[in-house]
Amino acid sequence: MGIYLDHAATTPPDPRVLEAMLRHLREVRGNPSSIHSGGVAARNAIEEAREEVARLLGAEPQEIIFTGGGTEADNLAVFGLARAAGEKRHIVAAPIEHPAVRNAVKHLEAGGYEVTWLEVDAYGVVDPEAFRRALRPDTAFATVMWANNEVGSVQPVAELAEICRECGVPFHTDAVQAVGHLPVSVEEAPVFTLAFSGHKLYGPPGVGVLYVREGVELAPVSFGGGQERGLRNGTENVAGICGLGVACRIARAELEERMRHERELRDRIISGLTRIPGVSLNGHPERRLPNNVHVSVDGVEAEGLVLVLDAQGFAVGKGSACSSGEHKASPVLLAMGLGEREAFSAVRISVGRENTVEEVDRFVEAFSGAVAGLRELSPLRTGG
Amino acid sequence: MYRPELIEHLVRPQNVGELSEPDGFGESGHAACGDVVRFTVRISNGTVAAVGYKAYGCAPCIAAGSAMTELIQGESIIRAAAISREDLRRALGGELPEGKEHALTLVLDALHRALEDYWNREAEEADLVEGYRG
Repeated sequence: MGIYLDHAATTPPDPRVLEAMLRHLREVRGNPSSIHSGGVAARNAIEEAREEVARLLGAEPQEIIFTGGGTEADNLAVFGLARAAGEKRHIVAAPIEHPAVRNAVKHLEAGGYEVTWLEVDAYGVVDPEAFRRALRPDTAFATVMWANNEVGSVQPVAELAEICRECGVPFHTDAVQAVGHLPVSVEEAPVFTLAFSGHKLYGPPGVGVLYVREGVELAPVSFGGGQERGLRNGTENVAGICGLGVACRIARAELEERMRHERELRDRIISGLTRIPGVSLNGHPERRLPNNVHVSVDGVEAEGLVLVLDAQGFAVGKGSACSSGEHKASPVLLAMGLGEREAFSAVRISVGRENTVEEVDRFVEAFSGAVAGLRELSPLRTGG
Repeated sequence: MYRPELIEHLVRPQNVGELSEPDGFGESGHAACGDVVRFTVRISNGTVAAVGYKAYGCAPCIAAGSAMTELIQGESIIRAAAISREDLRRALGGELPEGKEHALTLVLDALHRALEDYWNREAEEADLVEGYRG
């Protein structure tokens, strides 16, 4: 069994999550919309999970919409807020958004919406004052992610959401990387909508959440049986939702310990890797996800490095896992001012709660050896 | 995504390095495009007696360079020059993923340049046609 260091891509489901899902699949016979006892049991399971999710976010249960994943939740927010805004056809967005938001916003842009793409600093962080200046009376909504999925930088979301509240502009945040890894509270950050995904916090894949603040108007983007307040139509993934509820309960109980452990391993890796000449950390040095390490490796392309490490039993991500099939420089890294070569040399290492100090020390050693081997191969370097 | 044969060449690349005082030198690609492959060859009695290669770029580039060195080692120059994309593809276990075929072109081009360089040097030495290199 190899050492898994790609938790930002997906996390293995917690055994307690699997147990809850299997119990549901084995024992409950019923569609949650049915009125017989099996249907009621399924409905109750969903509502219990909804309460767990709400507790983790500091929200009310009726503000939680279950979706088919993080991307679906983000799409629902982007298109739902745009359609609900009527004649307002201006959007403020960050260029460092996950494709689930960025490409949805680009789709609206192609359809005639005007988009202000914010600038970010060298760490990929949005400036709140520039954000405020970008808002207009005809702004339909603004969107900035909670924490970046590639470089791990955490955005000043509470401040941005507060600015939006003052200006009366709906604010959406993609919190897929943050929930379960950082304290995320909709009481402290007055966001209008917030998306996250089950499989990034030791829950199951194929289930996500859109938090929709009470009173926020969101137009439906799918049509069917009216499930989830008519915002996510179709029979609910009850087992997945049960699993997500358990994952949220565990996250709430264990968040502090999880963060402490992840930070310790993260900092150990950062310290080990940045001692290798030509290896530089991307993203904010302090305000970053506790589990994220993102480095550029001078003289090496990430793909070869990731595969060489894989052959040695270490699973890490190259650039951004979601666009790994394409040979295109990450828009996030380019927006931060990195050159194409630095972007192509970027590797993401994301630790999890099952990783140990001994594992990450072995990883740092393997990484150093793999980099040396690939550099020896490179015609671009002489004696480096 | 990649075949085991390709991964094997990536993880344990063969004939890495640059020969000193080679008989032929060939390089293809640009760092700006993301891929560079370089071959140095030593020719003895019309055969490839030694080959060194270096590569920077995506995994198939690195692996294809290594596979090529194994295919040409000990072969006559003519046979080395005749190695096809299909030969190289086969040495890497088969089809490459979409968008990665350029690695084969790059490696073939770099090798052909190295062999051409050898022939040019030979021609110069033999004082054949003035300006042949042009």
